[in-house]
Amino acid sequence: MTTYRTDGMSRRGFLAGTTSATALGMLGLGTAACGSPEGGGKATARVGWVEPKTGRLAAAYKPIYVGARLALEELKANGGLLGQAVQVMEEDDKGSPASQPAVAQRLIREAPTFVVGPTGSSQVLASVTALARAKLIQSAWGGAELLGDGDRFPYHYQLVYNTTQQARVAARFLHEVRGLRKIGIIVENSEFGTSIRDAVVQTLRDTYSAKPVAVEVFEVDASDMTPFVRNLERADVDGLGLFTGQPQATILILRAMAASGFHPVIVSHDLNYIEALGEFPRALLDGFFGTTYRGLTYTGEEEPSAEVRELVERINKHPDTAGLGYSAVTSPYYDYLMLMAKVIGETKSLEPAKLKAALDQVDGYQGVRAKVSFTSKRHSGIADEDITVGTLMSAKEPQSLGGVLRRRADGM
Amino acid sequence: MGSSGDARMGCDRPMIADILVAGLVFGSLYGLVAVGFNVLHRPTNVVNFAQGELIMIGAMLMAATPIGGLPWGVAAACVMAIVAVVALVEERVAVTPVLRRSSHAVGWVITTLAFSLLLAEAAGRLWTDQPSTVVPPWPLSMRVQEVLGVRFSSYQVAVVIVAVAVVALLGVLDRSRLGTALRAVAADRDGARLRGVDPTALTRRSFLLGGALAGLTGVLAAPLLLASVTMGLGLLIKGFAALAVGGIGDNRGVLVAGWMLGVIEAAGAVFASPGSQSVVLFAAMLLILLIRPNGLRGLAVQRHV
Repeated sequence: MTTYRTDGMSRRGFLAGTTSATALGMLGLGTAACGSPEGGGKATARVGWVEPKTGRLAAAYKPIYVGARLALEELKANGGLLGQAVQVMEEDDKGSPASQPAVAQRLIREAPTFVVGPTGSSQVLASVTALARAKLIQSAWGGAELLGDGDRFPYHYQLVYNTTQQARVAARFLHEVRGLRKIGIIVENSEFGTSIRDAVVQTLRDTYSAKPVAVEVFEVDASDMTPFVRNLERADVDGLGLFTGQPQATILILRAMAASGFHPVIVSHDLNYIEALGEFPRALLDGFFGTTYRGLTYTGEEEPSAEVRELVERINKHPDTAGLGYSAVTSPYYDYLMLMAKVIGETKSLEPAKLKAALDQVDGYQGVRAKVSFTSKRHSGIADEDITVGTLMSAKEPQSLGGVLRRRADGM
Repeated sequence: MGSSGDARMGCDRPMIADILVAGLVFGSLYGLVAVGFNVLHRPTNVVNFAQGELIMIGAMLMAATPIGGLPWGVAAACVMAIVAVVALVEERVAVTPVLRRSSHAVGWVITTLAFSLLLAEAAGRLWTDQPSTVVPPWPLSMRVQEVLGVRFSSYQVAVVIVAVAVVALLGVLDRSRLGTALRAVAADRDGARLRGVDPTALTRRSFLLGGALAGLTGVLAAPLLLASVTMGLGLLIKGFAALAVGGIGDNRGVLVAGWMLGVIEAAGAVFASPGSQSVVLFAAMLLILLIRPNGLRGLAVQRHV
């Protein structure tokens, strides 16, 4: 037998490949038809779900979706949405902005009632842009202020505080509450870092007629933070806004500070207590604060609500939490799903247009973390008064319920 | 803006010392990454794009139980052995099949990248993105001491010494019969086979050695950078830059290039405007390559077999 072979593919291979692809395509079409809304069978309420299932961030992002999974359990226990079973259409975005257009295409085909995720500012920007034309209601975890612009992204609802809100609270804490006047900023070189740096500078200027004494921007893959920290030290910074989404960068900055005995008051973006913090002197960690939600904090006189404590208990029991209860409880997805259930119940509809009209009129909805309100133009829903500052080391206090809640900083 | 700008305009002795210390220490790591590239490149002409992830696996293993709980020397040896085996698997599945088709094939670009993605995928399933601390071995520590205005830790000194020692040892290996055989395979894989050299066996040994070296780099980097699933890519890029500047095949050159890039990076953080350190680093790299296109010492193309 003679085999004719080219550098690329044999004729037999080509025919076999084409046949297989056709068969798979037909199978796929068949599956799609069975699963489509017109495909018959029992009606279900579909929830689109964007989460990294593979890739470098797969394990890291699992805790962020724990709240949503708990909310789903509640919805299912209460009979679903409008009596229809809830069907989750999970899509793996690999934690990558580049995956979002393809994920959006699949979601558009699946036509869910609303979409949960993705997570991460860059991923969210790519996703909401791709989904906007499909008019799919969505809430993702991204802090950029423009994600709450109802004119620009009319179907995206932001249930996290945005960078401007965060900057205002951080500046207020350092300048007004702690009375610090030599405020410095250190941020990562990213969309998030740039936007929060600008917001802090603007708040200091507009509200306090002040300006930062030092601004440092580091690359996200920077090996050594010592030069940046030395710049802050030389500027005699006494209050520091430290904003990065990279836990490694935070630890390296603290290490550089510990090495030189430089202990400014820090307001950060992240209050997760991780084991690597154990190497630092207590004096440095006692001055470490972070922006958080008022509903997730306690004081000597004020305790978190029973609802919050019950949720924390469930979060702590969930296998996906993996010790990152703080990430799980601050995630917007529990509040988002419960809000959607309420809106669907009130409108008695699963139509996105009706749900959007109802969401645009949500006023003072009490989520577990904060009050939420929207208008047709303002889709950044978290109330300013529900954003506060917590202490890092309270993660070690029994009132934190296993390191999930935080003590509110004095004066906030 | 503010005194950040003032600090950038001024320049004092401690500031220069800080830059030099950081440059030497982190430059040693970049140099070791580039040396790892060289070890694998010699018999295969392959640049291993999975090198960064092999280093990351080494660092993560050093931080993970039960290996992290062993005495430091034993733990480091275990990590080097495991990463060497992983590199050998890479050679079997991602490199040799490509080279078997043609020694000049460039399919390894995709296959080593694919292997890198597989390692990142596995790491993403095993570990979160939370960094882990690895304590240096006794009597070394990360505690900073000040001598004549220069601040450094004993562990930082050790990292520089180990990098120099690795390059010196590889220099000895280079002058041995094995080194000559490696150069022969690098120059002409088929020609070397005709002279009785087995390129496949040499490739396998090189991947074992390169893997062990990647493991060692991960072990050394973990106390400085913290062990994290995200650490591989940054080291890969800077190691690749050191390789380009130092010259492929020149271990001493790439170590010196690593130091130069480390110093430029640290100086960029102090003197460049916020956020432009990468621009400074890669602009300097391009400038060096324009002046010395064959690497710092220009030796890579002058070797004779």
